[in-house]
Amino acid sequence: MNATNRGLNRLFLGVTGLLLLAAGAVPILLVTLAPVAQRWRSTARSLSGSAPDWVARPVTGSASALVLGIAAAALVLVVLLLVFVLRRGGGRTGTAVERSDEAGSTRLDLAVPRALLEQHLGARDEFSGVHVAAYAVRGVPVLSISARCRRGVSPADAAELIGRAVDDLGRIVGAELPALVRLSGGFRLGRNTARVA
Amino acid sequence: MSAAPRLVKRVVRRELHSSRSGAAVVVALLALLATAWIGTEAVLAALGRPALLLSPAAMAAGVRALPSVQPTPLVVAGAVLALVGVVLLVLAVAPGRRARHVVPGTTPTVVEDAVVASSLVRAAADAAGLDPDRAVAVVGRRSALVRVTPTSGIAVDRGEIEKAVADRAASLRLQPAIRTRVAVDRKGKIA
Repeated sequence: MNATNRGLNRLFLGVTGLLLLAAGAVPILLVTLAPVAQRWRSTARSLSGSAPDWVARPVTGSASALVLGIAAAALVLVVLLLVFVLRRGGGRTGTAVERSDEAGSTRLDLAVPRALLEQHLGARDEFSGVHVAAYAVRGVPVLSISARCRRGVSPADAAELIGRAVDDLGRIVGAELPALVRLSGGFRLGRNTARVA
Repeated sequence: MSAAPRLVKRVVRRELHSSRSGAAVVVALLALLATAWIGTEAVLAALGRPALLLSPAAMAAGVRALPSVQPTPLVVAGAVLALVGVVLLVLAVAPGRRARHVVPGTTPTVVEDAVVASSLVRAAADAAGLDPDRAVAVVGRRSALVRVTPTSGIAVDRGEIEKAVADRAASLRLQPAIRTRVAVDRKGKIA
């Protein structure tokens, strides 16, 4: 439910995948297609024979302008990758309801639904743990109610129980509470199939 | 009508699919290492200091001499790179469904398949008069298999278990719905 940009994740994986695929194709083509190897050799010879100044002439130390450019590009890329890695998650909010109209504005702190729901649902036998959080989804707070079910509990019954609690809470606070319920097992979990003894 | 149902629908969709954050972070960190190394070598060359592993000039020479490398290691290296590339492409495009189902309603519920399996096991065990530890359920996206190990010498009614499990599965109102199958082990266990 967090604010991670998933499209960006996939775009990054796709672009990296294409680059690696292309990089892998080069040596394979060099070995399998003789003309490609021929062409590579002749291009390499002509490049090293008559390289322009910005490639061949050292500006500082043994580095040409090209090498300095690569250093700068690498620095920029490292910063971008760091930002990409560190910008995970987020989107949590401490507000459960936020609304304003001509009559005024309403703001309900997360502490209220959290205390009421965790206390009410935590006392039920069906659950071994209940956790309430709120995430801003496109700017609107949505409650996230995670409950760990005990063995054998019907998820439909659990869903109805929690749904009713959310409805009751909405009536108490006088506002619609958009919410999502997550039921987990807390017992052993496979990756794509769930096995429960 | 408020925008809430649309928002919640979006959240549910996100809950059902992998965010690909794990793979993206691993790939980004490896790319970061590689980029940092190339950048460091470039800076060392600019300072006139010895290279860590390869100077930029040696890298360029290596690329130029690529056709002269032994063919076998060259093909192997290329194949490994291409394979990793294909894996990343699949990760980028595949839906990455998680083992979860939805129970729709005004407050939609996302259920881990383990909870569904546990519930089906309970239904099967109750119908067969067995301890829940004697039944195992495997839940997929559209089907589930419940395997029951009876007590030696005491017959169980497979039809009854099948009915109980199917009724329980239907009562869960899962999306997508699951078809259930029951298998009773030929060999029982001593209780």
